[in-house]
Amino acid sequence: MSSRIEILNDGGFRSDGRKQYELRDVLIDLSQQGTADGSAQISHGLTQVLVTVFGPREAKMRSHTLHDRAVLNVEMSVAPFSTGERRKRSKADRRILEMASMIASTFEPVVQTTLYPRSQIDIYVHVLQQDGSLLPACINATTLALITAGVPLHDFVCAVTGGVHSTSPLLDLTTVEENDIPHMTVAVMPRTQKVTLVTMETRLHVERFRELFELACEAGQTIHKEMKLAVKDRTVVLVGAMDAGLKGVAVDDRDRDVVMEDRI
Amino acid sequence: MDLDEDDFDEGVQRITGPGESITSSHAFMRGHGTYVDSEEVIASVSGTVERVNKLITVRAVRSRYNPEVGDLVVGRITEVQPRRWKVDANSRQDAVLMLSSVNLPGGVQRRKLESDELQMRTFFEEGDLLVAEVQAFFSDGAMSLHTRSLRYGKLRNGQLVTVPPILIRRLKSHFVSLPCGVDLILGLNGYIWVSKHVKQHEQEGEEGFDAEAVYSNRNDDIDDATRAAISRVGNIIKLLASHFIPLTDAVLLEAYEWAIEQEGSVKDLLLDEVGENLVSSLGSGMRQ
Amino acid sequence: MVKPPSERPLEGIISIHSELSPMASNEYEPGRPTEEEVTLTRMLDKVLRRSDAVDKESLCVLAGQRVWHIRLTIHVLSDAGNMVDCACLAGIVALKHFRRPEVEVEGDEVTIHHPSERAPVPLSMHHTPFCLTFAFFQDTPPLLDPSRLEQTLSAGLLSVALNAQKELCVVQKAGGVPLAAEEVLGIMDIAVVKARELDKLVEACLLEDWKGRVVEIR
Repeated sequence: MSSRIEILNDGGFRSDGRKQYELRDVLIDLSQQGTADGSAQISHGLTQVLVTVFGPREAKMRSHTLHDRAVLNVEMSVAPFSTGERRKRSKADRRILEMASMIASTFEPVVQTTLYPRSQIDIYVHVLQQDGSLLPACINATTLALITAGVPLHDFVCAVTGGVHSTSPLLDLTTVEENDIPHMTVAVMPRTQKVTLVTMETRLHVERFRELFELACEAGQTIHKEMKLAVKDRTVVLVGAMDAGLKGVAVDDRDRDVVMEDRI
Repeated sequence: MDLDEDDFDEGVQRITGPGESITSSHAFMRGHGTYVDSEEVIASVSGTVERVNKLITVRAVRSRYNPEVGDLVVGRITEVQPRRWKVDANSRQDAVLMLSSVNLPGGVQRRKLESDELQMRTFFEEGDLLVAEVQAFFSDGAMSLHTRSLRYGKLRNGQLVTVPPILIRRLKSHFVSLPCGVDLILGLNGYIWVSKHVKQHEQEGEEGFDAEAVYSNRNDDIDDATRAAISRVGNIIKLLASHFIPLTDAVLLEAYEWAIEQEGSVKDLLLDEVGENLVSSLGSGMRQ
Repeated sequence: MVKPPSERPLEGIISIHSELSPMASNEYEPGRPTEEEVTLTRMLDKVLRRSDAVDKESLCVLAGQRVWHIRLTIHVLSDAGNMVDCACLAGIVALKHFRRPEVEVEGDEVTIHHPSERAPVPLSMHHTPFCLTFAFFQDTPPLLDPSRLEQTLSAGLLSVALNAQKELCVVQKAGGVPLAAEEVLGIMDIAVVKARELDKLVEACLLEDWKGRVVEIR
């Protein structure tokens, strides 16, 4: 069949020109979104996800609070224009609900929720474009959004997909590849190298699984570097701006002409 | 990555992120924004490392407001409950304002009656803004407020501007009067009340307390010049916050003077270009 | 027997329903589907349908016009923990045990033979996946097949579905306590052994049942 897309050609290139272990470009935007406490937009190639975090804040429903820790509430919406075929997905779609609950349970042990009893942390995930590796993109963006919101985390969570084409493992799959070959998603915490999430939905031999699993854990570390860099850049910029402002005050102190009265 | 004493030199700020190890837990104690795992102090938020003696803390560069007793906050009533109000103060939970922690009409010090409980909404209603002080904490970390001072209470004659709480530093006084006829209340929770200047004697009243005035829901007459000044100051604050510049009276005043010099209209301040100019002019003023 | 959807004219349809009522455990409320119910249905869907356990193409009678539609309904009678594994096992055994009436196609004519005329035929299955759930705890080693109490106390669950041929179909670990990579791989080895045992058990039971039925029909 010539019309069929070759997943991995003889030259070792994939359908979008990448090598076997090559990840797609990761773009991270951590700029402020409206009134959200934290937000992050991440794109892995053509997959693009925006996550906004509100909180920790007073829970909307008192019955949903826990007396000893905060509750993570994840809501996910998929833009109808995110895929080639335009289809309105309801929020109650089981696939979306499942993904949202997977994100929530991934972050429950990572966020230090015990610091915020009776509070709620709202995580809103908006999928803007999808081209494979959707769950990893959501997880990575959520990590970044939580960090920008100043929510204490034990560590980053970095996720990546991997697949096996006949016997050669591939990383960071596109939709075309996901449809054709067995694939799995792995989320790792880079400091301890522990795995918080593993999912796989297609048939794969145990031995292959082992190989791919180890590879994906390694790829998680690479993604972590990118994410750390983006977070650090932002922090440096903000701290720099703050320092500049403060230094100005120190100079101004000499001849201040402000009426600052303590009216007691 | 071990810390030496001289790592904390003046002006050298170490920036860290979640999961990054700071130092060993033998020599140091962990503070906010850190946790201990396998004898290492590890950061849990992204921000600057601070050290007081043996205590290591990481200050998040942006987060919700962390209350401390004695802080001045501006908040909004979200709910009226039996003998208490719930107040949104940009913290992780709504603050609580007990009926017993407010001044009531007819004498500052008196017992709270059942009739007071029935007419709580005449004092504060949902949506009302108020300025208060953090009094204490409940066991779950929620803060309790009080307004038992003549300077505290309901807010009117102005507008609310919100900024990230970290931009508001502790000052000698958080009540600031700018010479342009604008009063500012810099709540440590990042809520700033910008209002018309109130003369000192008017505010305090003759016998110190006028219930009508304190819990009034009506604005005084505000002339156009004051309105323009209020919105100009409001816009300046928004602009400084978007450039992440900490707010102090000096910076605000300088920015206000610059804005007046430019002779633009109030809304021009929100243009990117004007904003850049303002910030760079502030920078040059500082370097002098 | 229904008309197939236009996207897949050559494949039969399998739909899976699960009924989770308050009867199973007092934790379930009637009405709104809970998170657990969503997890259960998704897991069943993945294990029984998306893993291609049943050869869907063999359910096609007339391409684009007539295919078999198999409805699998799982009633949870009582939940004493590890409902997912149990439901998956029940589902797969039901599919293996099921016999569909035989059909004959002549041109465009389709004749369905009543079971009393011709012996019904079993579904053609690619493989039989078994689901195994492990519960993790902070300090103690992982447990297979957690009870309700163990499940509530656990710090994380990992579900693996695989067949006796050592092929993994589904791996599901959403959150919970983070694990080292070796631990996960160790779990896989245990799962492989257990799946073989389960496979033998199921085959034996089916064989026994089948013997009984042969006598009945005569």
